[in-house]
Formats: sequence, C-alpha cells, structure tokens
Amino acid sequence: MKLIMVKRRINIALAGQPNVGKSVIFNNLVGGSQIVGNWPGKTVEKAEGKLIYGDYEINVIDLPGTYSLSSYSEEEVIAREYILSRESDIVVNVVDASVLERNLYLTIQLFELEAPVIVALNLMDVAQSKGIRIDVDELSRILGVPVVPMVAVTGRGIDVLVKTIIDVVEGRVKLSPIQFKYGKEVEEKISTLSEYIKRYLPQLCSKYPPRWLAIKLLEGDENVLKIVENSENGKIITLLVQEFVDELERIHGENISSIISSERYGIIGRDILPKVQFIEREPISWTFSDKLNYWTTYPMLGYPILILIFLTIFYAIFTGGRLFEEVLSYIFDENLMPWISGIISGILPETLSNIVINGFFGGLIATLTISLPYILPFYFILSILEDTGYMPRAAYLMDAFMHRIGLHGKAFLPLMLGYGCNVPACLGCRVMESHREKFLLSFLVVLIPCSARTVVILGIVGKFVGFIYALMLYLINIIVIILFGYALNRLLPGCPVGLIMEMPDYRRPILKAVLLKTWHRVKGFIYEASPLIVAGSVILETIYQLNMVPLISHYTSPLISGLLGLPAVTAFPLIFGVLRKELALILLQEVLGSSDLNLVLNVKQMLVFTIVVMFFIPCIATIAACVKEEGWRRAILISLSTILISILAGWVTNIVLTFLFGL
Amino acid sequence: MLMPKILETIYSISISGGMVTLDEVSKRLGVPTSFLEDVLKLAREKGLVSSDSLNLTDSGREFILRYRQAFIHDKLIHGRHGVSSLYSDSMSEHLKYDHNLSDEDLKSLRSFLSKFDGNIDEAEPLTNLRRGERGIFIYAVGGHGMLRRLSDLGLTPGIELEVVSIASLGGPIVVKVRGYEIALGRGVASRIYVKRLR
Repeated sequence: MKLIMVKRRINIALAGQPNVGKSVIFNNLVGGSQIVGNWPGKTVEKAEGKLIYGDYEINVIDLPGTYSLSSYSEEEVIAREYILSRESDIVVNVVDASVLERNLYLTIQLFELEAPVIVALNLMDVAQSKGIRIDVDELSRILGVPVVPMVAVTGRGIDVLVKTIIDVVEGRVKLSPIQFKYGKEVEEKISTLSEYIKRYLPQLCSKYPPRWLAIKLLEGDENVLKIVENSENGKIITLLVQEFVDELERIHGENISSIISSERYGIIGRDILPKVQFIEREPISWTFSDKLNYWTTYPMLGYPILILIFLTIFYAIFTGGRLFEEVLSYIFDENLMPWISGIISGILPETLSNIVINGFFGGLIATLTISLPYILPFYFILSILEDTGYMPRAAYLMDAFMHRIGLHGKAFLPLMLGYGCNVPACLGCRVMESHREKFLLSFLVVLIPCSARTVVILGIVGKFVGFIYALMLYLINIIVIILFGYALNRLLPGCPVGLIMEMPDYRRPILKAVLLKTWHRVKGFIYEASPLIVAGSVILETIYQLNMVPLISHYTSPLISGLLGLPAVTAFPLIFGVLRKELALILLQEVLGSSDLNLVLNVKQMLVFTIVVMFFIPCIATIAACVKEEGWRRAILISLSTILISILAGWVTNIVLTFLFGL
Repeated sequence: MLMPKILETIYSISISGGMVTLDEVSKRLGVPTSFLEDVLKLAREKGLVSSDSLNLTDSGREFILRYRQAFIHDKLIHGRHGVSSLYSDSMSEHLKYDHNLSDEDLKSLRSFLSKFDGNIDEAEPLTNLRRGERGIFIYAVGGHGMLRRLSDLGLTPGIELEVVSIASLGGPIVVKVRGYEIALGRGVASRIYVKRLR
C-alpha cells in the first residue's frame, strides 16, 4: 500500500530594501516555478513561487523592495498590508551587510509590525571587500531572531536559510524579537497613545498592533490617520496625536517625521551597530565599481556613454526585434495561418469564418508576432539595466531635462523607448514612484511616434510632400509633448516629486536571474495582453465583415470632412490603424484606390492625415500595456484623450494651412 | 491631555457669544461628552474652569493666552518649519480659527518672518556647497512626502554629508551620507539647509 504524503505548507514573504539582492534569493529559492503578475488592483509587480523541500511545500512571495514602511509609495503600502494580513508564517528580511545601518531601519519597522522576522544577511562578500566585519551571532542575540549570513549570488547560505525557516515553523527555534525603545519623550507618547488606542479603538487592535498604530499616527502616516478618523471615537485619538506632535516638535525643534526617523537611526547607532559592526581596515578606495561610477556620471564621459548605451539598446531591440518578427511571421502568417483558415473555412459560413480567422486567430498571432519580438529584448535589457545599477546613473544625467516636463530623470528610459515601440515604453513607466508621475509619463509616452507611425509619416509626408516636412512633424510632436507635459503637470492634483534616489554600487548581473526575470515578465504580459488584443481584433473584424464601415464613415464625416477637410472614407484607415499603426497607410491607399497619394489627396490633406495618425489613439497592444500598468479607467482616459488631441491637432493644422498658407 | 484644545474651544465659543454647552464642545471637537467630562473634572481641580458652569476662570483664560503665545513662538520662530509653512492652507486655517488670528495678523507675521527665511542658524541651501565640501544637515522645507523620504533614506537632522558630485545643467547633486550615496534633484537640494563644515 502506498501512502500519500501530505506536504506541510509554509508561506514566507521576502521583505527588504531595493538593491539588496532580494530577487537573487527569490530566484535561488523558487527557480522556474515563479509566476510574475501584478498585485490585485495595483500596478506593482508581484512575484511568487514555490519550493519543495523534504516534506514541506514553501510558498514564497517577493514583496516590493522598499526603504521604509510608511505610505510614501504604493510599494510600501502593499508590503506592509501584506505583512499585516498575517498570511505569511515567516517574513524573511533580506539585509545588505555592507549598508547595515540603513537596512536595519527597515528591520526595526518590521519588528514594529510584530511580524515573525528572520534576517537574511546578504552580500557578506561585499561587506568584507569594504573592510566591514559583522558579528552575526551578536546581531542575532540583540535582535532576538535568527540571522543567516549569505552570499546569494554564489548560493551560499540558501540551504541554511531554508532549514532555519523550517526550524522556526516547527518550533525548534523560538523567535523572541526585541521591542525597540525610543527616546524618553517619544517612548512616553507612544505608550500613552497605545493605551488610549486599546481603550477607545479596540476594533482596530485585532487587525493592527496598537503600538504600531501609535507610532504611525505620530509619524503622520496618512493611511493610518484615515483609518482612525473613520472609526468611532477616532477623533479623541487624532486630537491627542496632534497635541503630542506639537509637543514633540516643540521639544525637539524638528519636524515629526525627522524626529521619529532620527530616533530609529539612534537606536541602530547606539544599541546595535557598535556591538556588531567592526571596520577592520580601510575600504579598497578605487574599486572597479567606483571607476564605473566615475566614468558614467562625469558629464564629459557620462553623456556620450549614455547616448551610446541607448543607441545600442535601440538598435538591439528594433533590429533584433525585426529579425525575430520576420521569423515568427514566417512561421505563423505564412505557414500556420493558411492551414488554420483552410480548416475553418471548411466548417463555418464565410462571414463567421472570416471573423474567426482574421479576428480571433489574427489577433492571437499578432500578439506573438508584433509584441513578442520587441517585448522580449526590451525586458531582457531592462532586467540587465536594473540589476547592474545603470538606471540611477542615466536618471542622474537626464534629471535636469526631464524636469522641464514635470518628471524626473527616471522617466528618460520609457520616453526614449517610445520612439521604437510604445508597448515597452508603457511597461517601462513603472520605474516612476508615484501614481501621479506614472500617469503623466504613460500619457506622454503614447503620444510619441513609434516605428510603425514613422512608417506612416515617412510613407505619406516623407515620400509625397518632402523629407524636411516629415522632420518638421517630429518637431511639432516634441513641442506638443512638452506643452502637454507642462499643462498636465499643472492640472494633475499633487506636487511633482523631486528626485530623491539611492545611487547603489554597480553589480555584475547574473545571467540566470536576468533570463528568468525576462521570461516570467514576458509570460505575464502575454497572459494579460493577448485577451485584449484578440477581443479588439474580433470586434474590428466583425465591423468590417458586417459591412458597417460605410455607416461609420457616414457618422464620422462631419468630423473627418468638416473639421479636418479629409475624404470621409479616411475614417476607415484611421479606425483600423488601431490594430497596428502601419495599417493606416496600407488601408489609406486601399480606400482611395491608389498608391500614388498625389493623385487622390492634396498636400494639406496628407499633412493633416499624418498629424492625426501621429497623435491618434495608440494601437491595441499599447492600450493593453497601458491597462496592465495603469488600470482600465486611466487607460481609457488616456486613449480617449489622444483621440481628442489628434483631432484638435489635425483641425488646427487644417486651419493654419488653409488660412495662413492658402493651401 | 487635550486640555488646552478643549479649553481653547470653550474660549472661542464664549468670545463669539455662543452658549457653551457640553454638546456644543463635543460637536466642535468630535469627541464624546463622556470623554470631555473626564478632562473637565481635571480642569476644575486645577481651577481653570469654574466649578458650577462651563466658563473659564481668570487663570483658565491666562492659560489659553500663554498656550497660544507658546504655540506661535515654538512653531514659527524656533521651529524648523520655515516661513513657507505659514503659507500652507492647514497652517493658515489653524492660526485663523484656533488662535483667532485675523488675515491682517497673518500677513504681517509673514512679512516679518520672511526676513529670516534661509538665515536661521546660519544654515544655507545644499546647492551652495561645492563638490567635495561637507556639511551638517539642519533641516529641510517641503511637503510631507519629501521630508518622509529624506529621513527614511537616512538624511536626519545632525547627520554629516559630503557632496560627491554635481551634475551639469542644473542636474542633481549626489551626497554621501552614512556610507552610501543619494542623488537629490536640484529642486530638492535647494530646500535642504545645511551648516557648512570648513
């Protein structure tokens, strides 16, 4: 008789600051089993995976990397909400041994959340090369939780970490985390406040530790303040908090968030560091990382290097992508499609079979042949840039320029990528921290003429009006983007956040980690975007097959002919250009019945049409990427606004050309 | 606890000619009457509120006036909020309603304090420092999010920092603090005040 062993399930979460090697540990733990998606209802990446170890099935969730657990960014809120949900049996706090002081700042906050913490002390090799020795046992004794020294890139310590997790879950190792004490005045306020919270807000205490609530209230955490305000008797607490904050600010002469942070750093500097961290010798002062840092940030060298790197990326993504696209389209369009359509047209009536073949399968194949070739190299390069630490350097160099449009240096990469393809550009908007900036950036990114729109611009204006006019359109586009960025920055609520960014050391990327990350991100994109692309393609094909195009042209003609001065039939290429932008050119020639546009359109009409296409609603794949990053509401808002902008731009062009130039 | 706040409310109701009742105070502060009664008991013991009615005694009124002076003094002149906080809506509201300051008062206070902006404690903006120079971080002026982020990254008052590099064309400034480097946009850096070390 065979016994079915039921594996014991353990849930763990990885928490840590950015650039501490958290994702390397994650990859080491779960390998290929990971799923990358978004946190429900959020635009922050969520990675989870599974590890089978003996009789245990360990589920690992990689929380977003955060410096703190306040409510500064969406990432911080997600991380702390997850920890508060108590879904994880263990929270593994990944700590950079070479920057122990700042990393323990997060550890203290994890302790305040009363999370079951184990410390993974990573990058021990880097600490050593900086001449830092850490007394691991003493650190573990002070904190009251296990501390596992690790060098995740070589796999050192992974096994011990897993064993420790199991020991803790099985109760063989007890966690007795120390309760950190703040300075006298602050500590007094915290304990009084938590007593009051226990008395007046018992309903909140079942979900949140009262001491944590007290600390967060004193810190002025907006989310917690809102929760308390909306509770019965919450007003007593908020008034009390106000009084305490005033008093503390009076005593310390500083603002409250500085007071609390100073106290935390004080605890670390006074009670922990002197006993565990020893500087053995001077650090090697001019390491390779330092040299790279100098070359890539010194203006005279930095800008040429930046341009070189981005040109290479551009070239790699778009020539590599095109090659890849050709291979895929040979496989799918030329071999698979005829075979599929042969089968389907045999069973279904003509109209329906066209919808299924062109709409459904066409959409599916378009996802693979159009998006995949550009997204795969994009994610690969993005992962390398992230893992090496070049991104902060590029942001540093470009910050001054990006400020003109209300963004900061990190926005540079997505904007650049937009000229190749809007899809990866949209996906790249996640590098921005705040909601506001992500939204602003995605808005600008979809206005950038991608390579497909370049085909239209060159194919119409470049060929029939003149190359110089095509260049002028690009210039107009840049001006519109700058103006629009400026206006949006004024209109959107909230303040533009200035650049406050860590400049981490350069690290050698691990190929395996990069490849895994790339693969799982691409998989995630295809799962999420393909249904949308297929649905859009089916709808458009249905419109076409049911012969609704003349009807639509009829209703849009006041707009198209009236405002824009174009033939009414051009509504068709405009609408179907949503599938893929170069279709706008192909279909224009088709509906006008000539590939020599000079015969059917005048110069003014060509310019107006091209300008409309340049700003018009992004292609379906871009909308899908936008939905993935921004959510439905904002994606629809952005798409509709681009329609408005394009018509407005076309209208203005029409008027200017008619009245000023008499065309 | 909350005594000044509650006395303050009683005082503002009475000088505006309203009837001071427990319900009215409770409504204005959003605090249950049971809680108010506990505090009032304490206030009566200290002789700040008369024993038979809800009116402030002479020493109660004096207490409030001292409290207001202390508030303005601490918050605006010795505090690290900087004059710019006077322009924030929440602070203006606070001064106007909780301390009965008129618009005129606010205006003159602003113009008086503006003379000191940037000169408190010989602090100067971080943007004044050149590459390689060191300074002590004194305070920063800015929104809650920015202050939070700065202190989370270890820029807390009293910490020493060194300017590692300055980008051209009005770009960011990189400072070394607690052994690691942070890039600060020029706008952020201009709102960080430091004491230069020579």
